[in-house]
Amino acid sequence: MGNAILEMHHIKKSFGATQALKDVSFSVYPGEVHMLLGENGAGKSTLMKILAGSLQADSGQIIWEGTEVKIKNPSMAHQLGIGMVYQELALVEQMNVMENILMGNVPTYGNSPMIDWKKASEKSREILNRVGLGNLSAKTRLSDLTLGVRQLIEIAKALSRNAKLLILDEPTSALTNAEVETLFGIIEHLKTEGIGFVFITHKMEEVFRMGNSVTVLRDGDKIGETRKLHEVNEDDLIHDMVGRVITEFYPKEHNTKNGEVLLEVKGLSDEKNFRDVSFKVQKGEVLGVAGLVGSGTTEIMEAIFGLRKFTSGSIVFNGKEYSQSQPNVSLREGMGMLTKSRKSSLLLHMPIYRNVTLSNIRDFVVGKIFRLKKKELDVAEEYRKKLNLHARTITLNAGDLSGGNQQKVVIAKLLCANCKLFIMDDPTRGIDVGAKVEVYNILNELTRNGCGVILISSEMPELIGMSDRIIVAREGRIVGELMEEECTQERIMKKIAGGVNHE
Amino acid sequence: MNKNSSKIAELLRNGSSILIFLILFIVMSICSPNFLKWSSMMNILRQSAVLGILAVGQALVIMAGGIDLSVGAMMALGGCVMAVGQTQWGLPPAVAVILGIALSTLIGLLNGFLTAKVGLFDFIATLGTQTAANGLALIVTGGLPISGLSMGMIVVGGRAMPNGMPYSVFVLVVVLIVGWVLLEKTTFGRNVLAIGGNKEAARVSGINVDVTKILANTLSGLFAGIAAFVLVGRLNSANALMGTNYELNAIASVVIGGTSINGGEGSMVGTLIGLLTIGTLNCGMDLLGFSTAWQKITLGIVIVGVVTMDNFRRKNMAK
Repeated sequence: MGNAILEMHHIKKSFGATQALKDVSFSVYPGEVHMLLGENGAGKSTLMKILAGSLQADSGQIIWEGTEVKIKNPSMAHQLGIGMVYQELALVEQMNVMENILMGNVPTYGNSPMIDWKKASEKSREILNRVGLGNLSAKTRLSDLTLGVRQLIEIAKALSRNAKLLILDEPTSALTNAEVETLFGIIEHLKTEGIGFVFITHKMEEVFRMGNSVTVLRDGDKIGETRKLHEVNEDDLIHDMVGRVITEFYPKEHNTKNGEVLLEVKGLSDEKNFRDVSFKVQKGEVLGVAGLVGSGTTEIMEAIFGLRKFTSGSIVFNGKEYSQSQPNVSLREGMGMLTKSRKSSLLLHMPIYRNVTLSNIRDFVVGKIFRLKKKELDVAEEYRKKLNLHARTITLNAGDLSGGNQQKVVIAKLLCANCKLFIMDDPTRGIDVGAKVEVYNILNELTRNGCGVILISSEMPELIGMSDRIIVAREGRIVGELMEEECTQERIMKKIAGGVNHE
Repeated sequence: MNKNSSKIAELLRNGSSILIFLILFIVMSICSPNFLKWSSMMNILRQSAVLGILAVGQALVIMAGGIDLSVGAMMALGGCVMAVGQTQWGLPPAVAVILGIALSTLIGLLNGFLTAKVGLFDFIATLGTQTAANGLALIVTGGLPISGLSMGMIVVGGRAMPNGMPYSVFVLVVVLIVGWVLLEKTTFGRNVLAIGGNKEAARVSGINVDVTKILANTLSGLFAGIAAFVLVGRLNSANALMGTNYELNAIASVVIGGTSINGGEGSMVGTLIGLLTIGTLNCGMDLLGFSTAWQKITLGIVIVGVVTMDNFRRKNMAK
């Protein structure tokens, strides 16, 4: 395969007393996709930030195309040819495609600060062609584009600086299946141009489909050697990542539902995102909801909880019928929602315990005004133990926690508000394997206690593994229902895609 | 086809402000026979000159994601130094003017430093420098109006060129062109919009966020100094409080012109339209005999109205 474009030797990095990277070495060759795996907090991001120049290693050596380099800032990384595609896209929504691609790197007349717009236009045109966006006008405002296209523009941006190595940090987490296919096609194409990739993902499917080699990090250590992907199997990799054997990835407990209907949705429509939606949820049941991005699943759930309006239909919850929902009423009656974006479920700048008691603060006041901090702390502490929340203390800010632990805080908040029905929109999105299993265990705990759960997920195996029943949404309608025993990925996909189905 | 449609989209983006301006202009022309005259037009421009020069700096700061509450105070302090320098300190007028402009620029630099390096919110930092600059201007002038300025300043502030165009309007036009070139034609302009739109994205794209921010604030100070030069000349005197409320009117010009108060987007052409809207409103209502009180009420309605229309349009375009 020739010489490595990049070698990182014995990289060490500490933050205060925490050793984020303990002697990690890592190489990437031209034209390969190098998978970098590990749970959240394993050190992947730290390693990549060092490479991209936004962090400095405490010690160690970086060799770029055979010569040792010190990468002091993002500009230097760009100059060398290292392009980082961030998970939170590093683009400006108000600017157009061309301005975004050339951000910080606009062609000028000689060394003057005057922009050569003609050259800029030609250059962005050429790069858009390279990422398969030849038909896109460079003048389109970024906010008018889908996330998938934005991802490609982010790659185009890196290519415009002649990147030879692209770092992709969970590039597919917000994309539709079709967009993922496009992205993968572009990656395959760029590989033939000799560009190397570091690919970070939590999705095993992608690891085996796209990867050439793989390195696993755990707690700042490199586990084993870098291996070729055809030499390893999924179980090995998961074992390396979590450091223990996960015998049951989907620890579903059965027979918890008791037939009593908790929620009934009758003919819900908003005439825009969803139409005539009807379904029931029983106590002790996990109802899975499958559907592509844009199928209306999120919108339906938001309407049920009261985050958006519906124009006809009604909801029967706990025996009471509602012709319109409001979040405060829903919560009071015991329906809680865990939104897709954790940022909109949590006050990230506030301590854990305040987040936990947020939706049920009534129970923590005397005389309607004075907050009982002691009681808040006690209750939050109780949930910390119960949900196995990994936080040193509950006075830590929610924003300092990892994704999985943030999710647990949201669940604690809903539990604290005495919720009986939990609507969870992609609860394991972007959280690592170990934390996922813990979320699944909490699901079991909930159903065992007679709570109902509506689970929306972008990951098919998770839906199949954890649901008692799955309903499938397409274009805002419920197009099918599958009992647990008849759920297979093929059947669900068929219904999602709307293929002819005579079963 | 593509080019045309993007031009139309661009025009629509400036739509609300142009629309309001045109309506205002037509109404004024119909209501007041004296409005549509060269002299009234020049009057609008002359009266807008000081505000316009400030608005260009303000626009840069707002597009970079900040706000500058100190433009009026920087201008007042700069102007007072120019006046006191030549009448009391015995400086040659040119030196006094340069000193005044330098001082405004320095305060702008300080604003940039406080926001970019110390990490203060723009609102707080510039509120602080505004207050302090006001106090400093009172000390410099001893709280008294200063008059007896050199002829050169009076000419630039108040007189017209042989062709009938006031010098102050000429200065405004030059500053506007400089602002437009900076924003549209230089990397600095793109960087301003980038840091205003998404600071983190700009940082990882290799843009020097701090330097860009400091430069935007410094330019705002520089333009405040130039505005002081024009204002003092026009008034033929200087006093410590002559900048009061200018910062708010400058923000109004920028916002009426379609620039987002959140930063990241906006244009100098829009700012000019916003400026002319305010100028037309004030001059036209003067001609029609409305008091300042009514002018203020109308301006308030226009500010809220234009931004509301903008929001509506953006939502509709997003659909």
